[in-house]
Parts: sequence; structure tokens; C-alpha cells
Amino acid sequence: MIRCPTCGMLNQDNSKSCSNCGTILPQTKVRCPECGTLNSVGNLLCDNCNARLIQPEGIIPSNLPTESDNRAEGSPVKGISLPTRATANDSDVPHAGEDELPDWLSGLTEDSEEFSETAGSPAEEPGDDEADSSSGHPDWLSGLLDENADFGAADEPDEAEHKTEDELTFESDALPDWFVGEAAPDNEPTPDSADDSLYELPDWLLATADTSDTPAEASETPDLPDWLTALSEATPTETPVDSELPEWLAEAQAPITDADTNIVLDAETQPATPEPPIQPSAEPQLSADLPDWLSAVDDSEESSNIELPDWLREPAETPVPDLSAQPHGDAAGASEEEIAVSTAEEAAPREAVVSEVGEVAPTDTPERPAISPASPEPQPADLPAWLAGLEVSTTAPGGVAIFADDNKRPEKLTAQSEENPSQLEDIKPTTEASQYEPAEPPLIQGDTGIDWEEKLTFSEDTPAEIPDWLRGLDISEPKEPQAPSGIFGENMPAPAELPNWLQELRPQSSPATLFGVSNEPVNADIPDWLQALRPEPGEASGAAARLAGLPTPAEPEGPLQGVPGVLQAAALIDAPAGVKTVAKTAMPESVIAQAQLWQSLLERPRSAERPVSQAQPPNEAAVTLIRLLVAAIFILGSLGAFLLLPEGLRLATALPAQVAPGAPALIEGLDALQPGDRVIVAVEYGMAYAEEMSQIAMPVLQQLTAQQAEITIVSTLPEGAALGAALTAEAELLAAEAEVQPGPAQLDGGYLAGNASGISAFLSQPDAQAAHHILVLASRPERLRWWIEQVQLAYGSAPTPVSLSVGVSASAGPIVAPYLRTLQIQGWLVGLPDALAYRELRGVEDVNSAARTLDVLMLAHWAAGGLLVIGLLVSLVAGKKGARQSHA
Amino acid sequence: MFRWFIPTAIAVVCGFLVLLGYLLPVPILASIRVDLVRWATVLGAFALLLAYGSVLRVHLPRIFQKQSRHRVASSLLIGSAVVSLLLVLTQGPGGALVQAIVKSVLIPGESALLALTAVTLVLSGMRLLRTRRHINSAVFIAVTALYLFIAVPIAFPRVLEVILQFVDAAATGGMRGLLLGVVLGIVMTGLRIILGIDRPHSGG
Repeated sequence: MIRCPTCGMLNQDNSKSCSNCGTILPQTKVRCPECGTLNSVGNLLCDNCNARLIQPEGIIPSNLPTESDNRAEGSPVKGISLPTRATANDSDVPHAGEDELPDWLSGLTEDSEEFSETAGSPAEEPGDDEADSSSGHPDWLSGLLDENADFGAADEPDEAEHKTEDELTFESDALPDWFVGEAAPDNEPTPDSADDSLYELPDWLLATADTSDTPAEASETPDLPDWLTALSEATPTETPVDSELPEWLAEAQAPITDADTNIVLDAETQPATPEPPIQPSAEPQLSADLPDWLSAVDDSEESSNIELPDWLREPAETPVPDLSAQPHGDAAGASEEEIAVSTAEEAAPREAVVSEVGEVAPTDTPERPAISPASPEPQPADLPAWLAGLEVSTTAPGGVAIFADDNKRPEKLTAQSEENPSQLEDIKPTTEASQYEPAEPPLIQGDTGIDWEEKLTFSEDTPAEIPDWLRGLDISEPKEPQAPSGIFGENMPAPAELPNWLQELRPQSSPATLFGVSNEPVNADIPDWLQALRPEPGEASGAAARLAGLPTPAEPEGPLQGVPGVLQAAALIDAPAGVKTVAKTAMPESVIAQAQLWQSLLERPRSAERPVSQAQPPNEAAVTLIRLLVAAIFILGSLGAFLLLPEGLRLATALPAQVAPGAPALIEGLDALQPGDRVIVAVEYGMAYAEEMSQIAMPVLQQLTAQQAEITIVSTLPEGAALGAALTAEAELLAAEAEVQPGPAQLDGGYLAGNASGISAFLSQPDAQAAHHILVLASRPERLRWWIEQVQLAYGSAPTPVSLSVGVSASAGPIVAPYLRTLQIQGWLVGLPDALAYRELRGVEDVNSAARTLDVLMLAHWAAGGLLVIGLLVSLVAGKKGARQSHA
Repeated sequence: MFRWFIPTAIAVVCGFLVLLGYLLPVPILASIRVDLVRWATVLGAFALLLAYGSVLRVHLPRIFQKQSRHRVASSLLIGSAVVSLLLVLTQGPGGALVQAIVKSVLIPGESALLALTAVTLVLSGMRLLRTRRHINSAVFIAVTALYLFIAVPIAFPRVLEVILQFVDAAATGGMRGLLLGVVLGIVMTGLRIILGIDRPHSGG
């Protein structure tokens, strides 16, 4: 059932979408297109019909983690991969860890390839490749599996084979093909394939191989080479060893009496194993090519004269532990155990030599149970590292344990076992932990001096990837093998002479560096040449000089900061040194200056004192005091004249006629008017100038009224008509008081819209053309100008000339002065002084009020003038003082 | 296009006709000029009504919505309404009520505002050199103060006559230069309007 990730609804396994919400469900099962069986996602083939499955999108079987990967994830130590025999497909498949192989292992790969070439094409059966890929066996080992198919390889269940394959933690790449043949299910040897696989074996093994063995025997020991199979079938008197085994192996059949050797070919020590023994039938074929050290191994009678290698002698010296009791829980140990058992049950004691090729020597593995303290330390043999570690859990030292059947054991082996039963019995695992301790390998010569052996501890919780048969390796310089004892007695076989392909297996480097295990500190990732360029922490001052002397500038930032010449500038990216960027637009100097100012301000350190503005805030009290003072002055000046000055005292006076000829001319012009003459009075001032202009206009209107002129009041201002009406009304009132006959009714010309155009339009009318005098009362100069201009235009060709008189305010007097000096204006009055003068010349009443008004005006003028002078003087003095304070 | 072309064309044609009517003593041009001026007067009067309507549009919402200064707005509208009604209903601007309002309200109010302007100008003149220290500012203040001292002649005419003649000559010469500039500006502005370069009537 698949649970929907969105709604949590349970759906069928083969559902693609949720039945509740429709969410696309992750596929957990794959239906076989052939039989319809539901398979797990990731299965390449159907579990039922073995048909190819169509994986859902995004699921690739190869992406799925495998058991080997899972084991690899938990293994702290990287596994090593021994060179494999090249196959047809291997060229496309990179071998795992192939780059990590040391030279001595890499060379083995080449040799394996050579074997494949010489022995014929390797087993290119698909099954072999699959076996290699699935089981992890190296090619050179898996090939042997095919060769030895008829060596009694039983039809083991696939599960066991799979288990065997999977349990080869050392990825059985280290095992030769003939050794791993029994564990590779697909490499189940066939009679034909077995013969072919023999060509892969080295020559010395081929000679001992017996290809004529029946398949039945091969079924029993499928993984055994021929020579091993022959050994197992041989009778004590007619052992194939006698005829086919090398001498050293034949001698090994004799009971080992040398206490120094650890080789114990005792059948009694062979634990019962379920696996079929290795067919020793092939052994005789291998004897022809055995090296000297192997050929020296003879029957028991000659064993004493044969010098056994150390790894063969050791079992006699040290008791072989009962490996069957080893609680090996790991798959590697079990697999090795099975392999060892299969070989031990039928092989002669000289099968221990096979361990040199690929079999685990029973006493060679450091993982073997601890040897009893009483037993002497085993003598290291001249074995390569990858061979010495092979474990034969159920075999006695020397290969006795490989014999599954006592009948097949050589007499010597049996005798030896009888002679030294205690040795084997004593060799039992003491503790679970101790059995995994990498004890001194018995077949390794001398003190290896390898610390890592002692430190390599194996536990069930953390299974190390280093196989058991490697743990006890002595990869130090080989030493001369000690004379074997026990088996060979006095006639120790000559030191074993390793074949060339085994010699090359000798590691050149220390295992510490081989396996990457070392207590030495690991150099940093930065290479030495780069480390040298790193500036010292204390060289801050000298760093600049040091960097300056470098040919290339140092990196300014980043992980390589301070390192010069690390990265060369790419020509495509970096611009040439001679290229200089030029701004397309010229920056104005003001912008540059502003930018420089900003830069200087930003570069200023924060600790620097910030300039404080010297500008003081304005004193509100001083400002208020000044305003009050000005107000008081104006009030005093305006009211003081009325309140303080005596009535007869006059401060202001009228200008004399020689200075101001305007008033007399006006009087002369108005005196020329006849009663009933039309006079146009233009009121061109507003409400604000009404008081002043009324002082100017009223006496003139009084005269016109007294002369009984027809007054027409016009204005270009809306309020002018009302002001004009007020003037005429007051004038008539004054005339009535003066008992003067008023003139005709005052005509209201109305409002003249359009300023100059309105004036022109008004003057073009016949009534206006009949006017004799025009009096313009204006407070603004431009209105006066309009009238002057239009009057000149309108009355230029008129039959009756018209006079023009003007009355303006004191503010407009200087502006209209040029017009006043022209001939077109006959009389003018400017401000209150001229009005006073006109009054005085005409003898109009209410002169005192006009004089008093003039005195008040004069005092106000003097006050304003005085304040301006005071402010000017104060500004001159205070400005300098303020400037001095700002610069201080 | 027609939004600015037609008003510009009308303004240009009318301006040419009025100018020709002023310059050329052709009776028909004079009559055309007079008619066009009257039509402009009518349009000006209508513009005055539109301006009054704009004032109502601005101040009435302020009164009804009681926005800021709604009392000032209400005073403005009430006063304008009363004066307008009085002008329409009574004898015109010469009526007694109108004259009373003018003499008691309008003239004193505007006179006070003008006096306030004068005092403000004096205070600004006193601080002129503190804000703008320049010789022109000093000359301006000095000339202003001198004129204020001699504007109203005192009872010492001999000294005053000399000063007044000097000031009168200087002022007259300066004003003549200003008037010439003003005239030239008027002519140029008129030509620009007649030729359609400036279109104040079209809002652009």
C-alpha cells in the first residue's frame, strides 16, 4: 500500500495517482510486462519470469544502493581491489579503486591480463561478467571458477553462492579465479569450461590440475583446482600427491615433527564443514610447473629433507586453532572459511601451498584465533601479502584441514595429526576479540615491524574491509625462510622460490601507506609550493615588500589571498595592461569636486572630530525686541505729531514754486476752463491709496466744481467708479458749503474695461472728443502711461486741443517724472507736499490738517530711514564679528 | 491640432486687425478695431464671472465640509455676496451703502495692509546686509534711506533744494531708461502674440 504524501490516503501498490486527491504517487512496485508480477522498484529483471522490467521514470536500477555499497558505507577502511583479469567488458567498466591500486597491485593486473592472453580468452560468458560485477570477484579469480567447475564444485544453492560472493568483503578480487570458483554461481564450471579455465592458471598449477576428474567429483568440490582435487582423492599410498603433487606437498603428507613449524597436517583437527571439499584431482596436473619450493615438498619420507617454506612449517610449531569454533560472524570470514574448508577437506597437507595462490592458510591469517601462549611464534613465510592473509578457518595449519574426509588424507597428515594433536587442539580461539586480533602471522618471516598489523582490529560491529587473509601479512622485506621443522625434519626443503608473478606482488611500500592508515598527520590539501607562498602572520610589514618583489601581484581577495602568481589572467577576460578605460562623457569639475569632497568625508576616521557648525541659532528674543522697537517708533512717529507737537509747529513745508512747478501749472490750466467745459476725471487708484489721493484730488475737484465744469468720472479699475463718486459727492458738499453754484450733474463714465484699449475706446467716443481737459489721478505709473499715450493718439488730430493734468502718489512720482517734464502735461501734483502747495496757492481751507498730515508723514519717513541706517550699521559690524567666530 | 490652432489663428487675426486699425487711418479698420475691442470687453466680463464662480467652487466645499479656514471662506463669500447684491439692487457704485462700505471697511482695511507692507520692507532692509553682504545691497539701503529723509521737505528749503534737484535728475534719468525697456518689451510681447509665438489664450 502506498500512502499519499498529500492526503495520507492508502492506495494500491501499483497506483500511479492517489484515488482521493489525485496526487502523483511515488512508484514502489513495478509490474512485470510479461507475467504481471509486482516487483520492487529497481529490479532489473522480474522475480518471477526473469523478464526485463520497465522502470518508472527517474528510477535507475544502477542507482539503487547495493549490499556492497551499504557495506562500503559502513567500512571505515577502504577496501583494496586486487588486479583482476581483464575481460571483454572490463575495458568499458572502470574497476573500482583501480586508481587507488599501488604499483605492485597494478602490476598484477597486467599479469592477469597476460594470463588471460596466454591461457586463452577468459571466460567471457555473460555469467562470468555478471559474477564479477555482482559478486565482486576479480576476473582472474572468477576465471578460475570456471576452470575448476569440474573439480567437484557442488551445485550450491544460489543463495549460498550469493552469500559467498557477498561475504567476500575484500571483494574477492584478491582471490584467484580458481579459488573463488566455488563461490561464483554463474561461474559454475562446466566440463568444457573447466578445461578452458585451466589455461588461466599459472603453469605450476596447471601441471597439477587433473581435468579428467569426473563431474561428480567436481560437483563435490567445484572450486578446487585440479591438483587440489587430485590430492583429496588420492589414497594415502596412492595419493595423487605422490605422483602429481610437488615434492614439497608430498613430503608434507608425512607427519610434521618439527616443533618449529606450525604446519599441522592432522586430519583430526579438521572440523566438519558442510561445504564440499575441493577436488584435489587437479593437483597432479599442477605438479609439473611447481616452483622449486613447491616441488621440494615431498612425501613424508622426504619431508624431512625438504625445506618447507615458513608458512608450511608454521602449523607444526604452533597449534592450529579450531577455526570451526570461530564465531566468525562476518561474511568475509565465513566465505573464506567455506573456501578454506572446501579445499581443506580433500587436499593434502601440501594444499597449504595452495594458499599461497589463493587459499587461506589456516595459520596465516592474523584473524585466526589466538595461538596458545605455549606455542612458539610462527615463522614468517615468504609469501606475498595478499596470499598470506588467506584464511582457512577449518583447516589445520599446512592445509590439513582442507581434507573433508579422513580417508583422503594422507597418512602422513594423519600421522602428523596423531603426533601432534595437542598442537591443534590448543590452537583454539580464546575469546572472540582475541581471535580477531591480528596476531603474528605464523607464515610470515620475522618481525614485520608493521605496526598496523597490531592495530588492525576486527570486530563484528565494524567489519574492516581488509580481508582476514591480509591482516597477517608481513609485507616487509622478505627474510630467509627458516628451515622447516616437524614435517620435513632434517631434510628441510629449499626455500620456496616464488614465481615471478608472485614476486611482483610483494608490496614496495609500507602497508600504512598502502592502506592509507597512518598516524602521521595528513598534509593539507594545499600543495607545498603553495604553502611556501603563504605569508606569515607576523610578516605584515614585510608582506608588502615580499609581495612587491614577486613577479606577479598577489591575489587581493578570496581563498588565495596574498598568494601571488597563482592564477594567470585569462586573455579573454582580463584586459591588457596597456588598455585604460576612458570615460565616455567628461565629468564637470563641480561633480568631480563634489565627489572628492564626499570621498574625503568618507575617508575621515570616525574618531576624528566632526566639525561643528558655528552658526548660532537666531535669538528669538532679539528678533521680537527689534520688531517691537520698530513698531514703537512708527507709532510714536505717527501719533506723536498729533499728540506731542504743538498746533502751530510745522516740521514739513511746501516746496517753493521754483522747485516744484507742477502745482502752479495745474492751477493755470484749470483756471483756463470755462463753465460747462467737459472735464474727464480718470480715477486710477485703489482703496489703499485713497487717503493720499483724496488729499491730492479733493482740492482740484473743488476748483472744477467752483468753475462749474462738466465732470465725467471714468476708471479702468472696478473700484475707481465708487471712489470717483465719493470724490464728486464730497466736492459738491464742499461747494455747497462754500456757497458755490455747482456745475452740471456729474456724469458717470463707468468702468473702462481693457485698460489701454478701454481708454482708447472711450476717448474715441464723440462725448469724449468734446472734452476740454483730462485729469488723471493715478497711483501706479503704468496707468498714467496708458492715459498719456491714448490721449495723444485720440486728440492728436482733434480740432480742439485738450489739456492733460496729472495727480500721482508720492511712490509713483519719480517714475512718472519723465512724463511730467514733457509738454503734453500741463500741471501735475506729486504726493502730499504738492497737494499742500496747491492748497496754499489756491487759498483752500483746511490747510492745517494737510500740514499736520505732512508732518506725520515726514516723521514716519524719518523713522523708516533711521531704521534702515541703523540696520545697515549693525549688519556691517555684526557680519564681521560672525565671520570671525566661524573661522575660529 | 485643432485645439491650439484655431484659438491661435483667431488671436493672430484679431491682433493684426486691431493693430492695423490703430496704425492705418482706414475707417473700416477703425470700426473693426472698435468691435473687436468690445467683444474682448464682453469676454473679459464673462471671465470675471468665471473667476467668481471659481472662487465659489473653492470656498463653498471648504465651508460645507468645515475644512481648515472655513470661517475665513464664509466671510469672503458673504461679503462678496452682499456687495454684489447692493451694487445690483441699489444705485450702483455711488450708492450710499456702497459708499459707506467703501469708506468704513475697504479703504481702512487696504490702508492697514499697505502700512504693514511698509513696516515689513523696513525690517527686511535692516537685515539685508546680514543675509547678503554686497555693495549693491549697501547702495540700495543708502539710497532708500536718503530718499526717505528728503521725500518730505523740511523747513530748510535751501539745502533741500539742492538735494532734491540732484535726486530728481538721477531718478528721472533712471526712469527714462526703464520706460524705454518697458516699451520695447511691450512691443515685443505684442508681436509675439500677434504672430502666434506666445499663445497665452490657448493655455500653452
